[in-house]
Amino acid sequence: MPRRSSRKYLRDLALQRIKRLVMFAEQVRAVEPELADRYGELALAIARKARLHYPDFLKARVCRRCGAWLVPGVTARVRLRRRGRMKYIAVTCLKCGYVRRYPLKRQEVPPRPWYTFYRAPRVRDFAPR
Amino acid sequence: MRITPRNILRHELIGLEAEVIDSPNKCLVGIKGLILDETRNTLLLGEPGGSKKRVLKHLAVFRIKLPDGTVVRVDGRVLVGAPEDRLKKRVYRW
Repeated sequence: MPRRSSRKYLRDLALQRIKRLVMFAEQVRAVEPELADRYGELALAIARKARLHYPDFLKARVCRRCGAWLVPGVTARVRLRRRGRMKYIAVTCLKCGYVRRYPLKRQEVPPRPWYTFYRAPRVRDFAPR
Repeated sequence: MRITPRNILRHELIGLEAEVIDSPNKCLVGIKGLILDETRNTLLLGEPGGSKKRVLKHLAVFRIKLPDGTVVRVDGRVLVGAPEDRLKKRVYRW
């Protein structure tokens, strides 16, 4: 198999696996939060192995440091904070304490990974970059 | 890409239905359920919130049901490997 196509194949495979893990984590988290955390961890590991950027739908839902499945209000604390003139959204993982900050008003249109909390996954989220 | 018998060895096993159909340890035969977790050497079979059994991969032959309904018989020995390592695994003959 030519090298380029095999790389593409690998990325596609990895994305599909991540997508499945995210789906199952969402389904299983109410019953067994530990399993959802485990799936998050695996999804991050797969993305690293395939040398993918963490997709947005994964970034918004999984803690970067420990892989915990983040549910706002349950396993994550979401706060709007300000430091001087800078405002940011702070998402704290309640398992490991890692704080992810999304600065506001830095650009004309700020990237909004937290939007994935509020809308259903779109096809574009799963397309390879 | 869908899960097919061709890529099952490199695809995600978590969430699929599986059953142990053969093993040198006869106590393992007949264990079935969803695959809930995967480590390098084991699979965790069972129901979320119910009973679970951890099965050594290399000691079992699994019957795995794919999402499209096809049923595949997989020797656990070719599944040995961490889930993220199986992504790049090459199997030359089995």
